[in-house]
Amino acid sequence: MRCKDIKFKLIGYFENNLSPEEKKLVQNHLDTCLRCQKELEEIVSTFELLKKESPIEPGEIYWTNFVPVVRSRIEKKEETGVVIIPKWKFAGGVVTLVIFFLLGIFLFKEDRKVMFKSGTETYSYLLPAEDEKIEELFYAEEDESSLRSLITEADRKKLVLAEEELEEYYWEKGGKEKSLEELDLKQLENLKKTLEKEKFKREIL
Amino acid sequence: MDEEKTQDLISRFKSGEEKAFNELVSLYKKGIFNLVFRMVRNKEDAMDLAQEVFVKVYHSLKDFRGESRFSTWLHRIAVNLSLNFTERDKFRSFISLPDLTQPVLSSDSPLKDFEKKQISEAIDQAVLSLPKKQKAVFVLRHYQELQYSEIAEVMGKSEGAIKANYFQALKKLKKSLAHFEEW
Repeated sequence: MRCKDIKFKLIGYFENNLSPEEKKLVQNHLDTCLRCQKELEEIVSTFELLKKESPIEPGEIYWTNFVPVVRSRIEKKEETGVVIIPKWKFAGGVVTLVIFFLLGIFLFKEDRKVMFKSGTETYSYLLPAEDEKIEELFYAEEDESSLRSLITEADRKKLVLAEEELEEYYWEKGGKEKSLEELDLKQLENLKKTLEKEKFKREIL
Repeated sequence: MDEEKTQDLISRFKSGEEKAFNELVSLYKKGIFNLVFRMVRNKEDAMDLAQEVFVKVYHSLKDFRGESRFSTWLHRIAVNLSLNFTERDKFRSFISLPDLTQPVLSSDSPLKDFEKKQISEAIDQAVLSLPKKQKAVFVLRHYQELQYSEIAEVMGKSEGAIKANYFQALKKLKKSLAHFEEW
């Protein structure tokens, strides 16, 4: 086993959390590798240092008053207008909003008739919704929050899934120096390409 | 934590017995305070946030379907509230004085107490500077002593990703605390 594979298992080894086979592999590697021995020593000393951290005790009064304070905060929240709307009313409200929203889009489309002159003739055409979206994106490019509002829920879910897939693939390869969050754009792009290549290979094999 | 007792309290609360919620709070309050404190590293804020967690639980418990364990669900709420708080609090901590949280010290040796305080403050800073996912994983594993599989459920990630996050967090802490290792 290589150092980069072992390094990843050192915490598990220290916590006695490895399978007997893995434990034996790590032990054999440690017997001959000074670098990993040092790495393990550093892990142990970090845990030792963390043990020295002082405990925090908020005091007996805090614990005695905990439940009554939670209760009064619940009541206060209910009094200050956190209205619990029944689900069917909420659904009805959402449907009404959607209808108004669609109606708004329709009216907006009517207003978006573009008029232009060519010679003596005057032409008009309706700006398609797709173009509007592109135009909106163009104006919103500096404004991340507007951009985010243009992403549909389905797109957002897809993005989350893609991110999770990328992250799992990244860690599956083991022994990483950096977390995914710390990679720069180019490294992320390369990782994405490798993942896509492997997925493609898997599909055709 | 006694899962059977918890389930009993939840169903009693759902059927209208308000007192059951109080018992549920009493059962979990210390663990949640500890989790929240280790996340935000400020005693006053943690005292407030721990109570807020249970206010949120109260309003959401009726919709809790038991698809995951209650403790997993509770940890998820506490972690999310703490992370949101830390995000909101970034500006405040940037302009304010350092936290005045006083750790519990034994007064038998002032020098030892001083060292302990220094170490605690350094650990606070080191943990606070971790990326949020790594911080949550580190706290859940190191202080709450949750299994990797439970943390994976809380965070909605694979076990492998959680182990990797823990490894990265520890590596960063090791680096930040390197100058204390001789102590």
